[in-house]
Amino acid sequence: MADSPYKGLPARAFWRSAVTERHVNDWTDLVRPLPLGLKDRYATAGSCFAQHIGRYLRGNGADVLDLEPRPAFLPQADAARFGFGIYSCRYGNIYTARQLLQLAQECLGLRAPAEVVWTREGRHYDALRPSVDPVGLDTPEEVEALRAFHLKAVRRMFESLDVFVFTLGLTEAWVHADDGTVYPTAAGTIAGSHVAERYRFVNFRYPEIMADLKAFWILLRSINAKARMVLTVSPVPLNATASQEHVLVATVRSKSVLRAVAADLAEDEPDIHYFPSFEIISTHPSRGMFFNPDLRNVNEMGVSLVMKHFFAALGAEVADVVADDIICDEAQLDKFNAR
Amino acid sequence: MTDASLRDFAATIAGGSGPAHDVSRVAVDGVWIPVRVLRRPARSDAPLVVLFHGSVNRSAVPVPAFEGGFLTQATRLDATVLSVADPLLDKAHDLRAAWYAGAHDQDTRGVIRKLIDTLVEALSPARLILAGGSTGGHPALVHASERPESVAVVVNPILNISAYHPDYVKAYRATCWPGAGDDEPLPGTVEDATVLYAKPGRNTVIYLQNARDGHFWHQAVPFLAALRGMQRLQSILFLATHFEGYPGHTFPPQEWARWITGACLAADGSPAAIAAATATLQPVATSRNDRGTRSAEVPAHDLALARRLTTWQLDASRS
Repeated sequence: MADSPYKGLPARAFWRSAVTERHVNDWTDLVRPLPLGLKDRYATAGSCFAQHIGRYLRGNGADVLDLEPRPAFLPQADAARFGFGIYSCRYGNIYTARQLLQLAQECLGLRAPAEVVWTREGRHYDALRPSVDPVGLDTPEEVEALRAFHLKAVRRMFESLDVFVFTLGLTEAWVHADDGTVYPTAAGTIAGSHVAERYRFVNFRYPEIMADLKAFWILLRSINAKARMVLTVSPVPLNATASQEHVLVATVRSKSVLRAVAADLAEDEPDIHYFPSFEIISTHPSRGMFFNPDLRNVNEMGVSLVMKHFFAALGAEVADVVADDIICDEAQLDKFNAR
Repeated sequence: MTDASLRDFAATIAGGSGPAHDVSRVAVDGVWIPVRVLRRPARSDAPLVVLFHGSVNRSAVPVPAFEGGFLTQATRLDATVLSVADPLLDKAHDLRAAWYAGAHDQDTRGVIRKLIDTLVEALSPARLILAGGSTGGHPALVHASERPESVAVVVNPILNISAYHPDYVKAYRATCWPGAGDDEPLPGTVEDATVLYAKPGRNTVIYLQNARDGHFWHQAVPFLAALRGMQRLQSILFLATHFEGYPGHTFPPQEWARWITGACLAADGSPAAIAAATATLQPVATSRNDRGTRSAEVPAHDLALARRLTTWQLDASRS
C-alpha cells in the first residue's frame, strides 16, 4: 500500500470504525484527555444545558464553586426557582458570549448597564437575570442593591476558579438600543414590556462572538492568570427565533456559528478546551434518541452519555445524578406561540 | 464610565447620540461629576429632569450612586432624565450624605450650578425639573430656587442639614470641613434651604411628604412655618400623605414618578397645572402588601421568600 497521511491513523479517525460499526453508546475516545481534574475548582455558566454539567460535577465529587449559596431558611425545593444551586452564582442563564462579556465587565466596574430594572404587575425584576426572582422585588432600589451584591460574588468567582465551563447557547439576543446591553430574554417575556424604539434584535455573527469571547478571556486572565476554560455548545434547539427564518434553519445557523467559534478558540488558546456535547446529542448517528418527544429538550439518557464522555476526558468515573428541573428562560417563549 | 468635558457632554446629550455607556464623568471646573443618563428622547427641547440622590448605605450600594432608576419604567415620561451623583462622597469611604453642599476645597454648589446652566443652554428644554429625595431634596430645592421657571419635585426633603441625624451631620462636617467647629458656619454653604424660600421667589415646588416620616417635624414644619403668610406659598404645593406599607422616611417611587411625569406634561409650570396633569396619570397601587394591579396573584409563599431573601442578602452585603 502506498504511503498516505491517513495510513496509521487510529480507528477514531475513520467514520466506519468509529461511527458506522459502533452504537452511539459505545463510542470511545470521542474526546482527547482534558488536562483537568476533579480537584480543580469549577465554575459553570451558560445556557440551559450547562445546568446538567454543574449538576454532574457536583454529584461526582468535583469542587464546584457556589459563591451565592442557598441560605438555610430557603427550602431546597424552592432553591432552583430562586436561582440558587443552578450555577456558581445567581446569574441565571447566560445565552450569548456578549452577555458573558458584559457581566464580566460589569462586575469589574468597567460597565454600567443603561437599564437594569424591569417591572411586571407592580413587581421589580433584574432585567439581566429575570428568572432568579420568580415574583420580583418590592422596589427598583432593592433590585439595584441586590445586583451590586451579586456582582461582588461574580467577581470573587472569576478570581478564584480554576476552570470555567461555559456552554454557548444562542447567537440571537435582544439588546438595549442605547448602550447595547444584552438581555437573556426579550422584554415582555418574563418581565418588562417590549418597546420597539428601546430594544433591538441582534443575531451575532462569527467575528462578533469570537471578539467577545477573546475579550472575556483577556479579562478573566487579567484577574486570574491560572484560569482555564472549557467551551461547549448547547444541543438544545432554539425555542423561537426572531430572525424571520424558519426556527430549524435559525437553529442550525446559530449552533454552527457557535461551534465554529469554539473550535477556533480551542485551537488557538492552549488553556481553552472544547467538549463536544453538541455532537453527541445532535448529530444524526444518534437518530434523535437523546431528545424528548418535543425534539428539543435533551433526555436523561443523553445527558448521562454526555457526562460519561466528559468524565472520561478527565480520567474519572461518573455516576448518574438525579435530575433536577431545568430552569430555562428561553422556554418561556413558547407561551407566545399562537398555535 | 466615560470621561467627558462639560461642553462635550452637553453637546452629546443635545445631539441625541451618546457614549457607549450611560454613565459619564463630567469635568466641571476641576471636579469630576458622575452623571447617569436615564432617558434621552428624540427631541432635545423636551423637559429636562435632573435628579439628586439621598444618603447612601455605603456597605450595600456602590458609589457613584444614582437616583431615579424607577423613572425608566414611566411610560408617559417624555423628557431628558439625568441623574447626578454627589462628588463629595468620594472624599471618604464611609461618608453617607453630603447634600451636594460643598467642602473646604470644593465649590460643589457652584459646579452643579454650572452643569445645569450648560445643559439648559445646550438643550433649551421646555421645562427644568429638579428632583431629589431625602438629603437629595436639599440640592433640588437650592438649585431650583436660583431658576424662577424651574420646578422642584422633592420627597421627604432634608432641607436643613443641621436638623438631620447628628452622626451624618458630624461625618459630613468632619470629612468636608476639617477643622471647622461644631457650630461654625460653613462658608458658601446653604445649611438650611428654607432661607432661600422665605423670601420672594417664583419657582414651583412640589413638596411630597410621607406623613409618617419622623423628619416631618424637623424639616417640613419649620419650612412651612417660615413661609407663613408669604406670597411665596402660592408657588408651593405641599402634600403630606399616608402610604400603607411605607413607614417612616420612605416614599413609593411610583408615586414620585407620577408627579415628575405630571410636571413634564403640565401646560405650564404652576402647581395647579402640574396637579391637573398628574391627576390624568393613572394612580399606582402603593401598598407594599397590594402593589400592582394583579399582586393578589403573586403566591404568598413566594412573596414571603422573596422578601426574606432580599433582607438576608442586604444584611450579608453589609457584613
